Amino acid sequence: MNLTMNREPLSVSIRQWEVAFDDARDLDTYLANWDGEGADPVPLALIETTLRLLEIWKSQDHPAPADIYPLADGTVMVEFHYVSGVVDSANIRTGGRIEIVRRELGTKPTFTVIHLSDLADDAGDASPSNPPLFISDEFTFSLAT
Amino acid sequence: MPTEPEEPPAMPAPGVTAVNTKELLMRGVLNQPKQYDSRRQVPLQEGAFLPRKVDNTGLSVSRRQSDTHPEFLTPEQLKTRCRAHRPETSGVIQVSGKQLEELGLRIQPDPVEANAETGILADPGHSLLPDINFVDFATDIGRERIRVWAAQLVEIAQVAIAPG
Repeated sequence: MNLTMNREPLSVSIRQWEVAFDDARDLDTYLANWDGEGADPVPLALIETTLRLLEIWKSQDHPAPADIYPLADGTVMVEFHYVSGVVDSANIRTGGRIEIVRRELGTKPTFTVIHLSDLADDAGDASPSNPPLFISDEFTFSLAT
Repeated sequence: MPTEPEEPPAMPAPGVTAVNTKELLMRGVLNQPKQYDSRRQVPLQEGAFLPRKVDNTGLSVSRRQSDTHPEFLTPEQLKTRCRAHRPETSGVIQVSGKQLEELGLRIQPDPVEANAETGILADPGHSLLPDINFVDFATDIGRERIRVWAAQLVEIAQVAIAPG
């Protein structure tokens, strides 16, 4: 699967990478029942996975995410917003499962699942044999098969 | 396999009318990045339509007051009630019954009566979207369905009262 968007300015993200890393680290401040309605806390392992993903994306010169926040089930959402209005929402779940919904005005949203192992080799670096989630200068969305 | 949400009754309970496709269904949104962020080109966020743990039987919406249904809440009334429960809530969004129907979402009337002990205020137009529930959200298949619905709702929902 390969979705390619037109070349355009990188991002409308107003947050810088350091802020994104801080937001990810701060996920441990969401304690049980953080929403007042029984929400789960974010497991430490999931915070570590999120930080690792951010490192990978940053190393690939991808624009910083616009938002990082937990969902009620203790999983993590990382959102990328683009000038075109396209939004990629990556929900990071346990086991390195990443579920991405791409929103684009006028088209039905797409849902794609990838795994952390698709993005990085054993050393934790972006694997040359497995294309990155995003290639920032062309916004190519590539998946290892 | 996802657990099927409770089936809505074939007929609304006595005294409860079925939702007309022309009706508007409202929902309070929190003024925070995961639900509504005015800095964005599309301010509404997916989080506004994702179920929380309390949403086991469906996502709550409220039928909007109209000439046909003067007993239902206005957006201003819903905002006031939401703020009493969640002070950070400061906006109201709405979609039509027809739009929900086109997405394949069912609407189940679920009137709420006032309860002096718990402080719950009456909402005769309270309804549920049973297809968007936390039980299904915990499954891979259900989660995919619900996230796509939430992303579609973000695109079609109108802001009745903007936060801020």
